[in-house]
Amino acid sequence: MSSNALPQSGARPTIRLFDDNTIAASEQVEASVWGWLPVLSVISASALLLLAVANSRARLGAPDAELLFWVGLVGLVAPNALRLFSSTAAGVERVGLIIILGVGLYLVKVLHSPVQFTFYDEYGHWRNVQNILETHRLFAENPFQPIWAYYPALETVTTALVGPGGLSTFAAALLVLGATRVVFVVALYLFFEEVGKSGRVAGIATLLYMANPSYLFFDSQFSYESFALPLAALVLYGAIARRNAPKNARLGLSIAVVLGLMSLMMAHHLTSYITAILLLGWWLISVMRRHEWSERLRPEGIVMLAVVLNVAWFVYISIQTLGYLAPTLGGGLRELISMIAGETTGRELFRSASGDVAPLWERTVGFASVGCILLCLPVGLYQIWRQLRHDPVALLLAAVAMAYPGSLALRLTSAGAETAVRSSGFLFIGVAFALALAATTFASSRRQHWRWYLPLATWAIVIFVGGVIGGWARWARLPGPYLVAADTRSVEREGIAAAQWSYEVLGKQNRILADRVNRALMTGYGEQRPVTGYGDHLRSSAVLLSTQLGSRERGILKAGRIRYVVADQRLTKALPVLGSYVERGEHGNTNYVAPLDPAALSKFDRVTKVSRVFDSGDIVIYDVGALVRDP
Amino acid sequence: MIRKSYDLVVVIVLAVAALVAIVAMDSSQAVRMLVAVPFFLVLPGYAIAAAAFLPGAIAGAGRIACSIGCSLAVVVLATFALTWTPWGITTTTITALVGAITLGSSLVALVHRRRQGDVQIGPSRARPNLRQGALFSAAVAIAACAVAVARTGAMEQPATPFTQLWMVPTGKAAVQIGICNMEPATTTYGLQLTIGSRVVEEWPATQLKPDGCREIAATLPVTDDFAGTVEAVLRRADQPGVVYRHVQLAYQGQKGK
Repeated sequence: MSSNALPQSGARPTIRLFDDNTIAASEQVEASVWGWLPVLSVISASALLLLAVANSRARLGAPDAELLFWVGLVGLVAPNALRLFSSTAAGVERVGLIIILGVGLYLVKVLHSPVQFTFYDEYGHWRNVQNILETHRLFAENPFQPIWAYYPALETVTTALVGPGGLSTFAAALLVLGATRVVFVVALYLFFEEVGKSGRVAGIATLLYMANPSYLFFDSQFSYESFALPLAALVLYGAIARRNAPKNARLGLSIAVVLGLMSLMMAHHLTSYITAILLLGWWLISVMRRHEWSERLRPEGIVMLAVVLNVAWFVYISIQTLGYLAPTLGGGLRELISMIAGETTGRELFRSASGDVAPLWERTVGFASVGCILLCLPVGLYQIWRQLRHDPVALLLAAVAMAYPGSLALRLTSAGAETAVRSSGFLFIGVAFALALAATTFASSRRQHWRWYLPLATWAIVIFVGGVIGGWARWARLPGPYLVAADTRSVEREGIAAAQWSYEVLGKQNRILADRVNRALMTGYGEQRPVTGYGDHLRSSAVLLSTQLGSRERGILKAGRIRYVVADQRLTKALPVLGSYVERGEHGNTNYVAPLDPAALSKFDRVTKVSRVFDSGDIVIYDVGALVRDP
Repeated sequence: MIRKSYDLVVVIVLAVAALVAIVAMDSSQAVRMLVAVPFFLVLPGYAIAAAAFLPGAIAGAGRIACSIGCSLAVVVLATFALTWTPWGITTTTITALVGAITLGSSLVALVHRRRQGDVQIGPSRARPNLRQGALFSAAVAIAACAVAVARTGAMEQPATPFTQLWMVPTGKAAVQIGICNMEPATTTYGLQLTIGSRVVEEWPATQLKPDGCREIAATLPVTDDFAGTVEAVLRRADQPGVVYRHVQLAYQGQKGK
């Protein structure tokens, strides 16, 4: 039954959620709708076990950990991919496979950090949770990243499980993100199914969406985008399904869309704006193509609501978002233009700020992944035009997919590389749909032997592996021994203990200055109030990085009313893996060529009015309050 | 009605149980944690979906997405509403509001279904057989093992051992000194408190087990207008000639520290 089919008179219509063959009367058929799902779930779980071993081996610094990681990851994706390409899988099975893949890939991140937050952004959102629990209000100041205070949706749900539920913030965060991941993949599947009119296309498209560079780690962390994307998927599914839904489903879908839009507005700025833009685009394409609505439900109401909600939130709550987004989005574009003009050279791909170069195979697969997408994208776009050009949503997805090559250019710039990777979470909605149509063109449903699907599954795996390589730095994919200024790899026992000590002995909310990683730990575990360049508009990094505590540095201390300075001696032992010790731009636009001068940190010992209140070997905490109080 | 709406009866029973558990039980109790998770992540959305979709209109995947998605949205919006009230966002207010939404929606759904006549609302027709159920159970068990392996690995990750020494003023002539042993073995330390070059107090052999801490309150033989440096030096008994950790407080005369 097509989703466009009108219900027969007198019959109770049902939205097409599964392929027809999922509805079966006999128990034998009931059992068959599960297909390979039970076996594949065991294979997927076994792959997760392998990944767990890889993580544990990596913590010991074992060289085989990386191989185990990739074998586990491919073992998780490949069998499910092979089955999703098959035309014989039933709807229930496809949805099950998608859920297993979606949750399985989320667990990859959980296995990476199974006992505590280790991703940088997570500490800032943890601070939002602490603020809500303490003030019993939303929007309390978040010094870690001020703008995050205005998008507290993720934290509100987490707080509900922490306060009434009695769970730890970390456990609550894992559960909330796990739940959102299920919503994400299922809603995405249903959305693709609505547009593509095929469960097979929907399954493949959802699989390919998971190959986007930010999916595996970035969109699995305790961060607002991880929460917002599933809501966006729910809104898109609800809005699209609503247009041709039978009468008995319209109210429910409308409520889901309205609730989704309202909470999305509180969840994440860009996701909310892009969702509104997508809805607006859908409506505009409909108008331009003089689309005849087959039902009475037109999208104007939803589009209007999305726009009004976003504008209202922006104007009344989060006007600072503009100042936050503009440099991020504009920086990459400016650098790209100056690169084209020959004023600057581009970023060297597959090379970290500390000079670490990815191995040849990673570079090869990374390029092959992009090649696989770019080669098949025109085929998919042609299929959209050929099969679905009557559908404004399909055309919208085609337009989104066409923006993907442009985003690749941003990857060549230092400022735009992160934007390019993050934009993939949105662009891949179009890219994945177009590629899925291309894939089904190559392997029609008449070819039912798995050998027909093997090349396609391999193609999908190359795209997926390339996405992981391009989306998350090699050193960050697995835990391991300490690295300098490397976020997840810099979170270890001594730093956490120092932050916990600050909470217990110094109390909360002291204004502190620390390097990037200790700042995160002091914010999360210590509940201190970090002073930063981006939050306080001070060049506070200069205080830590200068070898002198001169009048300029003292002026910054006073202006920031800084009470404590955290000096981590390990910063003097290696180059910063992320390119900066304290904040981006601290060293101009160039990379360090030598580690931080030890004199930069020991200078505090030479100032008579400074107290050295804490020493754990690598980490020393200075009380500079007397300098700040000086007239 | 109950026969065809047993799912809503389950929702109501679970919601009431969660309300009772959250209000009556201590937050550390496992039961409270177990009921709170579905109470906030599933039940509100399920009840709203049941009330908003006419019987038979949605099933399977759509119900999963709407139930969890709407639950998340309800909690977000309920919290947003509460932040503007005099009571704010507390355990009681958020539980009461979400509970009221869930129970209210469930009742609406029950009435709705009653009006719609005899429509069977049952479980999914796609039930796994015994073998498939066993395989699913095995998958869950293996995944749980994976998490356990990862947790064990994370908790036993080798870390650089360290010792913390700290000193903070607690009054005009008093300080609090702390030592924490984060080394893998029991360690004996020697601690010296000096003012300028004068040793004012000494603790020659402080033995601490791994993860053991000791705090010392010391009185300084100084006047209120003392200006100078108070230093605490920590040495390990096995390396008495090496300063292992040191902290110092700078005193600024009349202003004190």
